[in-house]
Amino acid sequence: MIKVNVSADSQVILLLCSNLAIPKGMESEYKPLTLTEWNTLAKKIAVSSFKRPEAFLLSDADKWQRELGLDSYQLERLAKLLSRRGSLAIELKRLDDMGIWVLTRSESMYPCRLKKILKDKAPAVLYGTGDIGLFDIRSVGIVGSRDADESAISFTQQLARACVRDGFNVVSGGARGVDSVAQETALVEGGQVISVLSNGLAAAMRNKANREAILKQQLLLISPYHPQARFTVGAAMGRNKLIYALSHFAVAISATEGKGGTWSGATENLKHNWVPLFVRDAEDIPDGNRALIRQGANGLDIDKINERYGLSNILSVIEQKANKSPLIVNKFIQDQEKSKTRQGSIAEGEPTEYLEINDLFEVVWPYIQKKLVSVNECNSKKLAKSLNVNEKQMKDWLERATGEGRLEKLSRPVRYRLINSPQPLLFELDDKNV
Amino acid sequence: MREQAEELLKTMLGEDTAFRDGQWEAIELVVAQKERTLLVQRTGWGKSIVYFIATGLLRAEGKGITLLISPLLSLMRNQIEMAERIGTRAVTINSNNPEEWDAVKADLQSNKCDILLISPERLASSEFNEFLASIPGNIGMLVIDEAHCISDWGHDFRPDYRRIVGIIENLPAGIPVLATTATANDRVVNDIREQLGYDLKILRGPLARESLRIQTIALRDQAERLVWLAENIPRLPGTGIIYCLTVTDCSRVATWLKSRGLNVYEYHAKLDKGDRIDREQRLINNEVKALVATVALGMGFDKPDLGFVIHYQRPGSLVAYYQQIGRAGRNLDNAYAILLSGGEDDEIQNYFIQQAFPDIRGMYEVLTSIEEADDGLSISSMLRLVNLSQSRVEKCIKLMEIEGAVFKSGSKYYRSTNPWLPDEDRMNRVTALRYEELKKIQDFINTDECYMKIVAEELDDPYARACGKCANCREPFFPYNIDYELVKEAMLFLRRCYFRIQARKQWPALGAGDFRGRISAEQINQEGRALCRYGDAGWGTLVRTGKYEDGLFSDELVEAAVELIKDHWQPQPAPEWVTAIPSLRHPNLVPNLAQRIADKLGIPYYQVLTKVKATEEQKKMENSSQQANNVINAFEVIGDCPEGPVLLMDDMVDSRWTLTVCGVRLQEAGSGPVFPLALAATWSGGDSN
Repeated sequence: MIKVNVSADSQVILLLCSNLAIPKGMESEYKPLTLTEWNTLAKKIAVSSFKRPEAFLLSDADKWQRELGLDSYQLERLAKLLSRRGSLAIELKRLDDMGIWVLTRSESMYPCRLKKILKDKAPAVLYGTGDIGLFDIRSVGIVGSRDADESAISFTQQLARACVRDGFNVVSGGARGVDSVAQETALVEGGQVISVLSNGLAAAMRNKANREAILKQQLLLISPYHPQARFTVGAAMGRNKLIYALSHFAVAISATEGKGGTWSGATENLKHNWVPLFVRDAEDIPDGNRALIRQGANGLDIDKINERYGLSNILSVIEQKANKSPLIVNKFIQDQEKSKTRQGSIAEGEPTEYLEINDLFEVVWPYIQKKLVSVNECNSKKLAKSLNVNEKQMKDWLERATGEGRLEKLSRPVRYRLINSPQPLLFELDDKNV
Repeated sequence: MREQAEELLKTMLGEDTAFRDGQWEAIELVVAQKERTLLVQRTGWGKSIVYFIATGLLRAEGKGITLLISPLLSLMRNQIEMAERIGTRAVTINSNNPEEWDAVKADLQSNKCDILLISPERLASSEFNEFLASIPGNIGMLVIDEAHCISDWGHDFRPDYRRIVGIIENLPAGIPVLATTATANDRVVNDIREQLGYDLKILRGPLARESLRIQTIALRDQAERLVWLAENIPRLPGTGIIYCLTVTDCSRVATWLKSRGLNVYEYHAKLDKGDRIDREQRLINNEVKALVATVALGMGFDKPDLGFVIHYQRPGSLVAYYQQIGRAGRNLDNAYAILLSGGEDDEIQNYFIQQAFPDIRGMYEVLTSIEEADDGLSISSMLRLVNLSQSRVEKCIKLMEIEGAVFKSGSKYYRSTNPWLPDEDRMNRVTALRYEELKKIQDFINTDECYMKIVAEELDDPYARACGKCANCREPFFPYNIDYELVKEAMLFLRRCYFRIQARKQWPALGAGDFRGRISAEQINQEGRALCRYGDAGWGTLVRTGKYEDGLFSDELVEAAVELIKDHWQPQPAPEWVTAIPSLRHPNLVPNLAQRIADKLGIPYYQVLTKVKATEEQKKMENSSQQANNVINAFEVIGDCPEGPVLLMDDMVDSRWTLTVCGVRLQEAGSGPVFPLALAATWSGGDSN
């Protein structure tokens, strides 16, 4: 597993934004910055001579005042928070001993999808345990509810199996009901799961099955809350957005109209247009599911899932659609265009600037796919030429797509063909949502 | 700032003091430049002045307290006293002073103290960190005393020091770090640098001790060395320390020297805190000629006019040797360092080397037991599940804790989610190095080169040169001969070093058979005796040949046992009959011995105990729980049991569980009080509790 290091920037963000090493009963003295407060400060840092958060460590309050124009209340608050350096180091070591790592938004290992989709709503600090490499694998979010009936559970199991079969992570919320069925099924099938917890990690890590799955690099637990934090409804709402943002698309199994975490999470996703939302569709679904479909989510029936490469197909369709309309992928490219023209450092507060660094493949894939649709099969040389990239790079992409089950590699001569070339649309996708 | 620092120095040590070479440079590096610094200077050079002054300067700037990490309680005590002498307030939180914690906390929170001393174990406690976080300003500077303990190349690696490495890795800039040591060669310095980061600044001074006069003397056995000590200690100037490798040796040497009219005391970790402080104080005040000590009297013990250090046995490496002799002659022009050595030294050192790392099978066993537990595992539950001694289990846990495989929460251990594999290569490399070091100090005994130069070279001291003072540079100071008449007496003395067998008072934590909790007053054994320790000087070798070569214990041993009972032990009420622990492996060995002893004592022998099932050999059982459960249902009394007090014989005693269980069975059957007697105590794998 990759070791997660804590850079000097991260140390400052942890001191300012986390509640690590704040003793019980002193919460009123040490007030970490809210996400909004931090976003504001991060922007100031980026345009000041500080450039980066780490500059706080080797300067004093006078300088903070001069460079950042902070008032005395803020200065005192920051000084207090930044004074707990020794205790922070001890606390990080303690967490490390337990197997917990900490990521801040300034780390390149921070999951890029969170920054891409949530922008400055992405949590400044993320706690996790398990193989951080799981963030790089395409994922399907599976959400709610806690009280699932038999058909919901059966659907969830089939969906989780399909994820493993088609090479997707399951992202879920670690609660009972649908969440735990999705997680357990995927793990039993040998698949991988990212579980986003609404309470701290410490409790979940004591569970033997969880621990074994983590050590086998099948399970990644993350949470935006202190490892010792307890469950609160507010926290559950806060983590929902992470489940969506970490997924390439999400599937709601059962929702109750107007109430409950599944409903509010799903409608929040529709409202912010984070990721494509699907809803279990069958004859005996709850009214909440129908209501979500009316609001723009896509119905999903069991046959589509059970088709081989069914989930890959869904993703292809989404990406094709994304290609044509003002969709996430395009929007993302535009964001990069914008940021290129802007001067200045890569300050932590501007998450979009990191996006293209992490994975270009998903950006180019739709174009490769399109070429292949039009010619049926093709070799790497021709493809490279037609898209004006060097052949080695094209080969890498093609190999990767083959490895992920998107392409089939044919030999003598070597050429590639799309697996299940997107047929006429499988379902009606609503542009509004995608 | 220099003026301010000199001002502080004068307030601390008096108007006419000035910085020694390098002290100010170190302070400046740490306080002004906030550099992480390693200071290698010999003991007595004044390393503590550097962090006391640095603390003063940082506190004046409004910075947090200095957190000083120190490996030993005795060392902390000395540092606190020294701080007090110069008007700095230092306090400690450790496992020995929980009653003071509240007061200490209040003082720190109200800014009445500047330095907090802790052992590195404390850093693993979340409660401690909570508390630290509540101190205004938090940590202003981190000081790591005896920093060589970080390196397992060093002679005194302490696994808990590894914790510091992980903390410094995460320590945000702006908090100065000062590591200090007097005993680090290049290998250790480089290792410390690798662990604490390549930006570590290293300040290094000469290490040779100019006042020391070294001589080595090889003698055949312990008896000869006892005689050498008795003859020569009165000739040595002033007061000093006699180092032994084990606690038993300390007791023996001290008792012997007292019997020869010398004013000495033993000193080791088994004494309670009060006694230790008292004895240190007597040495400091020159009220005793010497303390006979293990390395427990060590780091931080500061007596500037200590006249000599004698080694009764050879230490494991030249670096350890250097550190120990460095306690002599700090403020004297001449002091003696005499290294005695003899036959058993290598045996003890080999044992230490082999015990240094827990074996890998054991670690996996412990890890699996924790992994399989549903909600963590306490040490006592672990002992039930794995056949390893408590100290082995603790060693395994410690290593895996430091390597992040398990962590402690409350009294239980949990498996972390960190992947873990034992680092066999590292263990093998360290073990190989230990043997190399042992070879070097073996050669040192017979060298004709300058002793001090060899020691300084081993420390990679760039200033190493012939000292012109040692026995090789000049003439030997002390004779190599001894009075052989006195050797006979010493031999006799060694044969009268008996061992007490304390009765077990408690069943193991999770019970044995149907027994739980305290052993009742009606069933508990009386205090017993062992004639010697197995394999030791004295009777130990005779026991070995009797048991494993002749199949019969010699008359000498019978005589010795009778002498012990009649002249030295005299148990009350006097035993009226004798019995023996039965054995299926050697059915006649112990009964025969018991019968002969009974005849000499003029009381009857009755074999009332019988073994009702075959058991594994007790010596294969590695911990108390396993040992008790192995024998709990193995013995019964057949026929009528006589009523009077009884002497219960066995050849060896290890865990005491066989004697305990048989004592219970005898008293259940109606015997009087039970007095256990064994020829030899092994205390090898068993828990000593």
